Amino acid sequence: MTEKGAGLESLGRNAGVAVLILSSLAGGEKHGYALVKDVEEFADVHLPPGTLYEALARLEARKLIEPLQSEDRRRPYRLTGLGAATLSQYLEAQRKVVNVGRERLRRGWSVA
Amino acid sequence: MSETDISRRAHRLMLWYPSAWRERYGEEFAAHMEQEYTDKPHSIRRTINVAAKGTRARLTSPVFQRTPFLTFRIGLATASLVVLALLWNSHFGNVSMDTSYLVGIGNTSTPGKVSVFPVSLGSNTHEKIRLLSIKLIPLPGYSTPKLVGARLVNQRGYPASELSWPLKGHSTSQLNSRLVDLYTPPSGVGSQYVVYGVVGAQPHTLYAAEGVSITYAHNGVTHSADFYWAAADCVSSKLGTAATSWCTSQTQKAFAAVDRAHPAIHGERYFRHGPEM
Repeated sequence: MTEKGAGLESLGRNAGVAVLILSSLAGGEKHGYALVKDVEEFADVHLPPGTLYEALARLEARKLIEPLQSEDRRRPYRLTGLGAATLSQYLEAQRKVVNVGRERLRRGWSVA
Repeated sequence: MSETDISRRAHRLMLWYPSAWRERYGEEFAAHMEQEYTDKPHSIRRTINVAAKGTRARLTSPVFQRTPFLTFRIGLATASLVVLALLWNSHFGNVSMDTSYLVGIGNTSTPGKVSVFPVSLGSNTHEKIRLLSIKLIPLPGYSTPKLVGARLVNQRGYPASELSWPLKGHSTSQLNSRLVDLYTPPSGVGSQYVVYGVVGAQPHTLYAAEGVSITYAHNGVTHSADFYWAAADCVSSKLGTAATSWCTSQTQKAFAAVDRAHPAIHGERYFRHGPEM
């Protein structure tokens, strides 16, 4: 569990980008460009470079990800333990919302 | 585009960011941009994204918080230089005029202070260019700032070196829409830049324009060009993170309003250009 206020919700409107990045890194370390391509693949969202590096800097400052040494200029990042816990907590909260929404749609609208 | 050109473009784009940021992320960001350029050589939205985020990083840097006015000016100066570098790197016509875009991203100023926005006229012709008129294009829903001056400068007179309006030799009096500026840049290969100043008086107000409409004479022919990009001047009595955040959000709304008003040019170069009828 993360401390109150340290979760992704505290990132406000930046939480969406953070979730995409953390979810991508949950699958293994990646440098920026690979991360963009991975997010495009699983979320159909393109992260422009300014947005990507703003989010990387913010996540690194919160110790949710960490940079790794690299032999070339493309520095890879990986999820930290805190990052994994924070992502898990966030996704769990979202899962509850999804379940409630689906259930209500199923009952009231016969969809989902 | 050669690898050298790509690398040069990437490094120029990074100038939007403060030096501390470039020191930390510069190399990997440049590598990232080089791959982006390979995928998609030109994207105005990508450039604007980097410019906006870089400006925000610059305005929220610790150095800015300590010396807001100095850093504000340095930021603007750097932004102008980057604009110039970007445009120098873009496609210039052989002889005919080629216009590019206006940049005015979320500048924050104090009441009554003039902000400077550059707009470019790129050309590699030896012919002289004359600026004949300039007027702001109002953005519905926003207060239109007052236009207090405009001037053509050539590539050797970087707009960035001439901040602190008025530009040398120009008054701060409000212009009407038919400015006649007979400044004639020295002949020679290069780019001509229209630099203009806007001012807003009320604190906590976003003054915004859709862009700017100019006429100019080149090679005996009068041309007109409309540049569409929200030139936003956020007026705040106190500079700092809160003002910057407010300004950024307001400016993004202004940008979106321009997008909505001109869907046909969305994602393309924000200008309409042609001989005046």
